[in-house]
Amino acid sequence: MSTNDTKNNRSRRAIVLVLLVAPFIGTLWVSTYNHVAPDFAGIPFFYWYLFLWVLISAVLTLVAYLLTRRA
Amino acid sequence: MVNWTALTIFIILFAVVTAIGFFAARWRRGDLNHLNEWGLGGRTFGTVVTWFLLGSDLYTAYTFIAIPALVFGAGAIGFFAVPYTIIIYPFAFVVMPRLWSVARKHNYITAADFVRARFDSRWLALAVAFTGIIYRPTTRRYPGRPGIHGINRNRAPW
Repeated sequence: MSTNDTKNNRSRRAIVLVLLVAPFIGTLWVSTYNHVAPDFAGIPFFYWYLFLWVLISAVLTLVAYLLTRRA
Repeated sequence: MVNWTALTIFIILFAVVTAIGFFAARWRRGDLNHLNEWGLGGRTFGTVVTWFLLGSDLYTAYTFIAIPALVFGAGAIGFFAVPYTIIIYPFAFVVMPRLWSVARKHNYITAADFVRARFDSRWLALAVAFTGIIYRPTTRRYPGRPGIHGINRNRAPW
């Protein structure tokens, strides 16, 4: 049972790590989103992609918080 | 030609902020002879106050004047501020609780205190403190309103 628990904890920590690292990759790898198309309501991809990451990052951090709090 | 709408909004906001300032000075008054009362609000800020402190640290003259001016003058390069704002929160989520608990245990008041003890280097601590002083005017800090650069609570909000 205890080995199962530590295994659970380790996979939970791995998920938290991915959740927290994702915004760094998504926003700092500029060449992946430095485009005009596809636009959203006339807003170039570059801008709406970055603003979308504001929301995504907030959600990911919230999930990371909930996962670490339960552990 | 007086813009009455703008003038009215300005006067109302000025009056409200002034009133809040006088009210806040009496609220949970601390002994300002103690450095942690002056710099950290006695380490008594809870979740809500901390939330506003983090927000006011980010949304400063830097956000409202410096970055728009940079975008106006240099273009999209000014957009570095958006990724910076996004990644600072996962970073703070990992670093700040640990920094907080270590600082609380050893009674550190500033980031420089922590650096001096952790890296055993007075010069590095001096560099951190000096950077904080240079940065200070841009964040409009005053006693009892430490920023993310201070370590400012007794209770962890997370």
